[in-house]
Amino acid sequence: MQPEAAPPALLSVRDLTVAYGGRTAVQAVNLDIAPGEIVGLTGDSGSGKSTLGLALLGLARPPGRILAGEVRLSGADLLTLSEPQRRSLRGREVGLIVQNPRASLSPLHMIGEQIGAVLKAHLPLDGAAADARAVDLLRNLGLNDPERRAKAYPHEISGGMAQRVLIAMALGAGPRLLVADEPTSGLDVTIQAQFLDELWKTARDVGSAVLLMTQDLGIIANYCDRVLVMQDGAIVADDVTKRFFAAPRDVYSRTLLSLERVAPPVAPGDAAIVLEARGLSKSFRLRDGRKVLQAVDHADFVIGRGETLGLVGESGSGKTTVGRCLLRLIEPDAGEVLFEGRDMGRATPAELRRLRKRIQIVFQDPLDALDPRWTIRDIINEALERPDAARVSELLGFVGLDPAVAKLKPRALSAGAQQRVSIARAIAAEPALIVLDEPTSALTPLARVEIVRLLRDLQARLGSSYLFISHDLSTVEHLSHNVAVMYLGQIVEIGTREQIFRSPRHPYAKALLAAHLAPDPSRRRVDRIEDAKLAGEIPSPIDLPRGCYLAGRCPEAVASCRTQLQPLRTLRDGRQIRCTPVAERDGAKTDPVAA
Amino acid sequence: MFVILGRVLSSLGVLVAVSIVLFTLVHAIPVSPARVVLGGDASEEDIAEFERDNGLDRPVIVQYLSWAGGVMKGDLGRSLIDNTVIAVTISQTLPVTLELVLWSFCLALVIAVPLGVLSAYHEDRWIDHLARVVATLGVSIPTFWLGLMLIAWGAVGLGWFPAGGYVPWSAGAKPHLLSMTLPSVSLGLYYVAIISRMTRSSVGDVLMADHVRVSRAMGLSRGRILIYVLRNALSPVVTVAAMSFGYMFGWALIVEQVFTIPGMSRALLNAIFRRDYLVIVNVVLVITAMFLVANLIADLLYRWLDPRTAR
Repeated sequence: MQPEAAPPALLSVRDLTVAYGGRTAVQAVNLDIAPGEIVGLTGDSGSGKSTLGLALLGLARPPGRILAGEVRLSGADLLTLSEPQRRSLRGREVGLIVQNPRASLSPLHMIGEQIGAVLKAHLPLDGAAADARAVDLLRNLGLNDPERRAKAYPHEISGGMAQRVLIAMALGAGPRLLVADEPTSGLDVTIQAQFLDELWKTARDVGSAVLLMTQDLGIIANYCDRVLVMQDGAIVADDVTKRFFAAPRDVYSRTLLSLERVAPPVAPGDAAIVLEARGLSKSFRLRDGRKVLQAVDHADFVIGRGETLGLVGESGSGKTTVGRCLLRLIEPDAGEVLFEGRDMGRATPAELRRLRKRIQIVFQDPLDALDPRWTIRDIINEALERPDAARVSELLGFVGLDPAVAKLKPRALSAGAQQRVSIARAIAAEPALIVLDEPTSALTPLARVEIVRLLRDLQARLGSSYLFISHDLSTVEHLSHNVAVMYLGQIVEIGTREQIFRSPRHPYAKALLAAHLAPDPSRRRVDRIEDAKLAGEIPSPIDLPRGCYLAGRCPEAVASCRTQLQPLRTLRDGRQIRCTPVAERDGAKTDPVAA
Repeated sequence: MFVILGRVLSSLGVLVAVSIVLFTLVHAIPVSPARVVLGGDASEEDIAEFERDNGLDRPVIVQYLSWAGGVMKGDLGRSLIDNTVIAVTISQTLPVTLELVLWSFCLALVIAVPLGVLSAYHEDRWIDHLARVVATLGVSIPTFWLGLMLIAWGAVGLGWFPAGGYVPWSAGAKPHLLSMTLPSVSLGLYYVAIISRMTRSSVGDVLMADHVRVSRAMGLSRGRILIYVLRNALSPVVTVAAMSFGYMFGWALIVEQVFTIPGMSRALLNAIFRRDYLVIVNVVLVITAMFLVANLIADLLYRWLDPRTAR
């Protein structure tokens, strides 16, 4: 018998160079992918990942051009083929999924028709057979009532479902390589995890190789066999996943992973209470006037001086509304907000103005929150009692910006620097509490790391308290002392960071944390037993059922869950959860702490 | 279904509102039609008598209601000046104007949409530059001057087309169509410009959309992708086309004058010069109705084109 040689590469790229006008986006890249291999490709925004991904299919986004190199797919160089030959390889030999699944489907054509069109392009099928096959694919993806779904338009299905439709299209003709460009950006964490599990399983089952491009090292650690890092159009690192995470060799990955290596913040002992919310509720009447959306439902929490409360939940869970109710940017329907002992709800307009100086807010999109016509100096001066150039310089120094940026306008700065300006403005009035509403979500991974460092640093220096609102569990873990998990307007579990991240107890918190993809290949999700799995997707927050909102999806649900509202109860270890079966097993006090 | 009914009703509402405004404005014209009919040296008594005979001495609202009551019964009234039945005037002139507008409109669409699509697909190539030149000329040449130039070139120079005048269908299809060609071109060129530019920018936007990139990556054929692109790019084009259709009625009045076509322009201009209140109101209302119908059709087209608006 012959000795077993390394399998020939499925995809082999040599000296691939792509440029936009005069700017080179991909610089002489070499890479190989073996059959069935799942390769992660990471790098900061603008490093050339997406351009490389498209070039692997012989495509470039105008005005980009592939200047040189070869892309060998099973031996044949894609770039020397004629356009019709290339077209027949796309979809049949190599598939592509990109971010923003709904924008990837033509909004004016039914999804069944669009899947059918891809199938017809590559398989010897007529119209009716292609339609039938499309329905089968939808059924296999676990969509109920696939015949009806096939006649749906993209705006009628959820983002998670749209992404599954795209997998169906990309894998429909059975390509041996799938290029996935940020396939889960914009999806909620639990949907992201479901999707990646499915992608991973499907690829393993059919033996497809996958090139998974993502900025999220958690995804790479969990699903990839090998890691490539791109920087400024070149591949700067190529290593097996375990080795890569043990000792990243390039600066980019080292910076991103550095946060993991720093000890998390220590809770200040016995902090005085800065803010207390009691029974905070807010509902919105929808446009037709009859339906009610319960955005926040009896939220109770306290924030101590110098402490950070992390507020996590998926989109529509009401976390942003909680933040806005605290400042009375949105008027709550019921409940009290006690800030430094005073009831915000009873404050006169003059008092409220004074109080608002003590509570500041930083928004998700810094460019939206800064007036584009003003200079940075104007923006920060406005937050001061009177214009003060020295104080502006000092504040800019606090947030790690060169005081010289004071004369610039927001657009001249990077998103990370803009967010620093927002933070400088927020701390200008020396607030006791800063509400941080997804402040890192619009940033590149590197900028995110820097903002997290800055926030921790400022808290240590100024002693301010934070309400940190985010769907990004890693960032919350890096910043918070206490964590509250929200689901459909309710806080379902609230406790210390260790309690929530190490051993969540509420079934939803468990599922959410299980979907958290830690950048650590020794804690891979695919190796874990799935005990926390929830059925289906988050229901609409309109006209919720009686009883526990999770009952329909919950593996722990008992009959009474469907009819009885779940009170928030304190467990023996001090955390509070909104789940009667779990609380009773714990032997929690029978009297509900709050209704 | 209810939505369509609602749209029709609201269009009717607009028509009623326009008729009220129009009626009031026309009656605010200082010179009485009596002066036109009776001549400059008529006495005040004669004028008063004429106004009394024709009901012009009644309050405007009463006049409006009595006219509107007639319209409900299908009677548009009679001309104050020569006592012709207005419904007859309109039924003779409207088909001529409508035909001119329809030819121009079809011509504009048939040229503009492919031109726009081609220039979007071949951005900054010769076809795109050509389209830009056509568009620039189209918006900058005044319609009446274009008409005159076309007569000079196509009728006087080449002798292919009649220099003006209207040949009815009854005189044969070929002479009729020849007589409509130059007017249609001079009315349509401006809209070729507008619609082709809109098509180009709309198709250009869609070509940059993620779903087109994904379709290419899925290996779909150019034809299939063109279907996706056209459908997605069509909505703004429909808007502009519908508005163009309405505006064309306005410009048609000038083209009819240049080519001496017996359409509504002659009826309307005569009525304006002679202060023939009811004719003015009725003709302008017919043009308004055409505009509303075009917009109604555009609205229904959206619903059919874009399932997201059909709710």
